[in-house]
Amino acid sequence: MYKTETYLAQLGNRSETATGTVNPPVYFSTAFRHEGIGQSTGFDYTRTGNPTRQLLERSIADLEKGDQGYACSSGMAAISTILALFKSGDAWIVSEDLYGGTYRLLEQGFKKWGLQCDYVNTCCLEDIEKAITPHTKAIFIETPTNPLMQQTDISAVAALAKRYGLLLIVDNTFYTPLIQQPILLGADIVIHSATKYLGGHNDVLAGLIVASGAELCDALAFHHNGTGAVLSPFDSWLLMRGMKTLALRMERHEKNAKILVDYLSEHDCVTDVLYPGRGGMISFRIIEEAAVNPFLQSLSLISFAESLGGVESFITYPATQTHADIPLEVRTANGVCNRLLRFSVGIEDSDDLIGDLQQAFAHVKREALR
Amino acid sequence: MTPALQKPLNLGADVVLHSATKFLSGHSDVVAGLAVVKDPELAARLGSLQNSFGAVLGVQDAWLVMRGLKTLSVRMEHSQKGAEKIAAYLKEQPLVKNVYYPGLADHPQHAIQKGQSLGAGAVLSFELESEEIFRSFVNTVKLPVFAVSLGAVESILSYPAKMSHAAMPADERVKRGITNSLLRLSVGLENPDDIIKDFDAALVNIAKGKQLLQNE
Repeated sequence: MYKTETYLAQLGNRSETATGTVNPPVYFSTAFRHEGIGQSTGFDYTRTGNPTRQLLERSIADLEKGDQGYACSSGMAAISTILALFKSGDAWIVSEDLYGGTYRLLEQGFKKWGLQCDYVNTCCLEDIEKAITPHTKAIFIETPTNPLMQQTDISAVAALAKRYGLLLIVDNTFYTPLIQQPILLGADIVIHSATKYLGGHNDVLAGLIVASGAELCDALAFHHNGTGAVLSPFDSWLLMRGMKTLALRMERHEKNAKILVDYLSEHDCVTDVLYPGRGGMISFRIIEEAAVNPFLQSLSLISFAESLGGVESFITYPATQTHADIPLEVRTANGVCNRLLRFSVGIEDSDDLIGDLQQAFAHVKREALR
Repeated sequence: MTPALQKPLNLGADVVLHSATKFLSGHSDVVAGLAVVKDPELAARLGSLQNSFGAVLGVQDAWLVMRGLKTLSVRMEHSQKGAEKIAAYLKEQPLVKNVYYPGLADHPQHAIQKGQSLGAGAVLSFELESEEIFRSFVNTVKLPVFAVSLGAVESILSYPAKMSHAAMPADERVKRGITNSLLRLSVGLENPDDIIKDFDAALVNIAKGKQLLQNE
């Protein structure tokens, strides 16, 4: 296989031979004609398989070095599809620092069907091992975590998972396969909110699953088709359109993020900067809770919005946005306090981003911190 | 049936579901599902689940479904008329063992259908005399698309035993009357006479073959 950048740029080319399109066609058809009884082109009904979606699924499987990909209508739909593999009485070990939507799905959705979740600091291998019970069937980690940017040693957790016969599921949304390929490190399943870096333009909602191993792949294919939370052909195409520039975007996201980490670390309105060393996501704590709203309101270039990974810079307030569904005491104990802001650094010029932060901090100092 | 013909919430149902892939969008170009409730508390609970499970419809697909909805009532009217005509035709054919269409006066639930809906819809099933006849019929008809799905501008002929109900064990399937010679027809927007002509050519051809065999 070519290098990732080459693979991304060529995504979808040579996929169609009838006319030689460079950009892959979008197959909207929901049904596919059968020439006779028992005859099929390999496509029957689009929920089960669609040529446009299949191209995306093949691509993400190749990029993540897995065996099979599954495109879903959102990142949450991807996790819901994986959850269908489990049964009442099973338990998961989950990163305690976690996207609030995943927490909500597990606690408000699957808990009532008898799935138990034990939240631990997955950075600590001993804590994970201590939490394993005979009911434990899987370990679900984010690394780096959202929003505290904590890193988990995937290989070490994979070895542990293997020893206990557990599935290791890694949310690779923040790093993408350009920076990290969890399956190569021993993970069984990788998921993405492809709405973020993979799509990259804040214009498509999508989730991706990549799995390794024939039996697991077949089971996931069954639930992907059975549950039906599949990605539409147009959104599959839009996602691939975004993925073609992933390498360029990620390079700039990371370059900008490093410059902004240096800037924020020096600023007297900022008490902590959390950055895992790679990628475009930064979290930081502002000096006082009272400064949060004036700061967000005075941003003129950076958008105060929920989501991440797009070309435009976003600042998110986890306490009321992404992590609002995590109980206050749980959230605060984990470090997602009311002074924490999450910064998805875009691909704008870094001087312009610094300029915007500078004027917002100046406003805060004038108005809120007197 | 779609809300053009039947409104279950008005009849006391709590939740109405649609595969909007079918008649609502109607063009074989979008996969979508819809749920409708009228109780505000149930609505809030479903809203929260819809968000947390995340199996939501993409915006382009939402638009595409609405684009299809604009022609729902005219499509439904045309297709239903066609279905009535084709059902009546099939009923008269000696090689057709059974016709299942709630719009036929002798359908066991015909009265219920008349009481609760404005029409019998555009889907019917029919059983051919034998699996052998079924096979030559499927191989001879030219107009309807032989495929899964239903509710489109194109007439679609499906084979439930091997398509929509393939996941059901054979004995369960036959117990429910879904035999190996049953076909489901979703009537599209073609002129129904063209479909009847197509079916008739196939059935006449089969009858001729049968006659030849008997004469030998």
